Amino acid sequence: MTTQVINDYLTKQIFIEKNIVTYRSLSRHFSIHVNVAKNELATYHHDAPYQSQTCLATILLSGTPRKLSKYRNQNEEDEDINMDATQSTNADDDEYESEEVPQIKITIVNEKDLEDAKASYDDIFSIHIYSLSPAPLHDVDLICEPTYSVRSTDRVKGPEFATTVGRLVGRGIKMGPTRKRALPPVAGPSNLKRPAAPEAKPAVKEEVKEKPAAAPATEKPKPTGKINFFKKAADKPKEPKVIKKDVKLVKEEPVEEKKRMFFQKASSKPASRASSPAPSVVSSKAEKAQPSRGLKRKSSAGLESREKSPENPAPPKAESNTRVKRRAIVSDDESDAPSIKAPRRKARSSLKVESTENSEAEREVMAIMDLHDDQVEKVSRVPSTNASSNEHEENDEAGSPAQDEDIEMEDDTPAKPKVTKKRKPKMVVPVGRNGLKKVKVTKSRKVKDANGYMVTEDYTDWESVDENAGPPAPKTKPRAKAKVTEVKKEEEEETPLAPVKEKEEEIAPKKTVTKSTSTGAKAKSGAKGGNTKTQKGLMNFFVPKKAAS
Amino acid sequence: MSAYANMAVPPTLSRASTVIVHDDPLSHSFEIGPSKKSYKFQYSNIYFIRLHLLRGTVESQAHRKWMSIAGDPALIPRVLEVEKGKLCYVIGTVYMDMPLKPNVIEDIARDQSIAPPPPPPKYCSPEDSIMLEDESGRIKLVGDCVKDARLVTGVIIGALGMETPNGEFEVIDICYPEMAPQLTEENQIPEENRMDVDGEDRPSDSNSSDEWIAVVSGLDFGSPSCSDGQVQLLIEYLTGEGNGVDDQVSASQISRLIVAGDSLAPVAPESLEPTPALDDKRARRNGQELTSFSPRPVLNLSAALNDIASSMPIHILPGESDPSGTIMPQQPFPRAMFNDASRYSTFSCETNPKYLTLASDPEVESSLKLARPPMKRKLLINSGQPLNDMFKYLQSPPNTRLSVLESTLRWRHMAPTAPDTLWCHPYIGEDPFVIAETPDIYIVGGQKKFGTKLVTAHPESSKQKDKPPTRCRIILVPSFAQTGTLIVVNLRTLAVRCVNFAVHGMTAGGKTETAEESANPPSPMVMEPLPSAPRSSLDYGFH
Repeated sequence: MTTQVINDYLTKQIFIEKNIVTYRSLSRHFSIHVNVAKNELATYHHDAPYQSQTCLATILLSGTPRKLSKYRNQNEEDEDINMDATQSTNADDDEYESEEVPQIKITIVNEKDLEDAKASYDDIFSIHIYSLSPAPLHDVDLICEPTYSVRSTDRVKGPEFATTVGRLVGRGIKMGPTRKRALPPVAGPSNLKRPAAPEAKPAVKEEVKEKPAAAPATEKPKPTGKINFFKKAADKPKEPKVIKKDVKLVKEEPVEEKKRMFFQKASSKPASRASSPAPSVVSSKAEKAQPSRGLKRKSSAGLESREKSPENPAPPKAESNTRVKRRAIVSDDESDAPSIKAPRRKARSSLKVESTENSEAEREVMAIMDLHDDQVEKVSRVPSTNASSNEHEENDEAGSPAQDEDIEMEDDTPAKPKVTKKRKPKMVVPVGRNGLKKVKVTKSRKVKDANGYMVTEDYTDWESVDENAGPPAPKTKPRAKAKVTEVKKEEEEETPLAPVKEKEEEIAPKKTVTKSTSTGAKAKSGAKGGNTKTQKGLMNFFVPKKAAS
Repeated sequence: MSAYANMAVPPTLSRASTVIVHDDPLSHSFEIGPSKKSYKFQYSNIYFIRLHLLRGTVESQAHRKWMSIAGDPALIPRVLEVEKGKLCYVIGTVYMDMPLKPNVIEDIARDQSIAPPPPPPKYCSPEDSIMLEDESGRIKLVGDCVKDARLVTGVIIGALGMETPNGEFEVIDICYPEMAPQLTEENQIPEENRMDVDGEDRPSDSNSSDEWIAVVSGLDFGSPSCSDGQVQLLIEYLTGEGNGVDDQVSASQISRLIVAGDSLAPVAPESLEPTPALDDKRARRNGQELTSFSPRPVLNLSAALNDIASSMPIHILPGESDPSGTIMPQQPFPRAMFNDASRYSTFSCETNPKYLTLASDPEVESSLKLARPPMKRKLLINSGQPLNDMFKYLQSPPNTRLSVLESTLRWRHMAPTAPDTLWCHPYIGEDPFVIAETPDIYIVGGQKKFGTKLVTAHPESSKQKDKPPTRCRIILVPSFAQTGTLIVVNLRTLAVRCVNFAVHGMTAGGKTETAEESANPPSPMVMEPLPSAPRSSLDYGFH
């Protein structure tokens, strides 16, 4: 037999390396059945004294514990920790008619205590040497030490090894494919890839996150929320194109660029597809415009960054069309219009994706946004006539300036340079996965405040728009029309938005009005989809377009 | 010592095999799918539904029980319509009004700056009053009969008695829904094995080809009382490596292992060491206290489970101390928690109460050509929170955990205290804790002490005498960390066996530190954030 080899191994392990050798580690090492290993340990232990090497054994006993008429007596006699805990604590429980069941007790014991341990048994089924060690074990947990090598051997040798060593394996026990290895590759790209997948909510969300998040990252927060916000808004559009801007900006660029590319890819494809089926509201204009969306978006971003360049009114125009359409979807409450629900959910879940990285920044922005909801209107009223600087502020402040701006350009005669100029610095409207710009939606949520009260607060959120934005459009129409008739006169000269504004502001001279109105509208829309006023204004807006087309 | 060197190598043993019956409609009853994942419903729904579901049963039971009573008691449909001085019976939900019971209103009113008093071990006190309520209102139940009855909040009962002049209801007798029918009647315990159930001396007496299952609870990895050494012995026993040939053979009969909760110890916050303010802040920002967090227990647990999973199927349930939700149908652990073990398709993470239907493996049956009837057993397993909570309602000298557990079968409800003191999901339109069908084996983990009983339906309650009596094996599974006990159950005969893993003359799992350990009372468990809480990343849209 291989006993000599085993002897050498044991000698080395126990006396030289001072390790504990259990029957399992021995069986794994020599690929022998555990019972053979047990015998080998016993033999070695028996012979060791003759070789003037004394190793100490731990012994595993199994059998039925001594049964006494009462548990309690057994308890006294049996010092075993386990029994102790069981029986002594709720002695009164014992009175209840719990059935007596056969007990098997498996005890591990150092060889010097073996006789003691045996005394607590009625009947011993088996005794075998569990492990050999250079010194007596004081803590059972030491027997776990060899387990690590046992586990690794088992892992390496695979499931067939089990029968060799005598491990029982049930039917149908199969180790699945190593998921661990498979996973990482998937996990890495999943962030990006998910959008493309059929359910793929994340894509939309990512974008939403993306933009807001990028902005704060570039700029350090300013003392007041307002200023901070403006800055961000102003800078953001620049980022993609204007490299010279700022060291920070430059650094930011590559990441930004990448992300943007991604969005474009994601968005442009569906967009082209979407344009054809897009029903009622999408005018021929829109159709023309959409295929080139990806490009346009880029260029417009660039333009905006330059702020004063009036040159290309065209791209914004094209964009505006779709935006307007999207704009129609405004919901006050999470519980309305089922048709809106699907896209909304998309947006939400997608938000999650990036949230971990950006949440901080995002929150900051959010806070600012919230602050300004009411202020926005005031501001817009003040400066309508002059002060380009003011104008900037207004624009920036507005929650979703892009829409208004575009709208204006489109419906206005495109060649009004001044107007365009002023509106450039604006918030970028995130684009949904389907290539349509997102729409701001107001929702309310309940939050527990510091005092533990539930507070309901409104907040706005970007939502992607359904590609075939059918339902929302019809809904708006009737209402809008009524309005239109009222305001028709002004409309002819001004942006469709203007009339609404006009009513509100009443005074402003026309040219400036266009600006201010748009900003105002912007402000409002940004402030709250919840304001029915704003909605009306917007709806109003659509109608003329429609008529035109 | 060479005397021990004579162990035979057994012929290759094959493990007994059972299969899970998947078509059982109850097997998914505790999963909270996306459709149910709403937390906006009122808990009152559960009471309505429960009363609705069980009223009919109690009515027929009450009718049968009391129809021959002198005075001809009539059923009063609403508790508030009882007439003074007239013998009648009403059916409703028990509500225990207990001053010591935790009270949300008091919780809110409490001075936040003062640490709350530790929760009392028992809710019961002499000032308790017992009410019976239904949709119309509630009426106070009095009388010795009620006092002695084992009642907790949420049980549906029928009460026979009459209203006293001061508006209370003097109860003479109480009627429960009694045990639910059992659908697996074709699988009754074979007569020849009956004896084993009653007084079986040696495990080898039972048929060696019977399928067994093993149940363990409270492995408590990460707690000082958990002994890796004992777990090691457990693993070796289950995989059939340790002990003698006899034990290896009996281990081979165990077809699967159920881990009934409390596999991990609660993470105790490091309250003793005041950390510098700066560190504290940072730690809080990171959302966890870095000092006290260690993944070690989880790694140890998954390694241990992996060892066993390579040998037999495992079902693991979350329990009270586990990192899982607190509210009652606890949802399955994420598989990824148990990295290697999760690669076995036979390793399943289950909800906390769980109906599991096991059947003998038809393929094995046919290959062995044994003339054995096919076997099918329905198991109901939970990790012990319902029972532990109910136990707080009851004086413990007369009541035992086993008796309370038995009562839940007669109440046809496994967690009557659920919305009251036991946190549970706000179900609407269903109460999954109602026991519509008596399981064959009812296992409750997380207990202090082992206990078992074969509960059979009261003979008077079973109308058809020709039908075999309803019976259910109830088992209290003690914490392994405390008692080192593994329970094995014979699926065919419903016989139970205890396997104790003990240590003699060595310290086990830091048991010597018990004194220190008790100085730190178990901390509230770490809860996963309630899904109803706002998630910042979702709720903050960008403007």
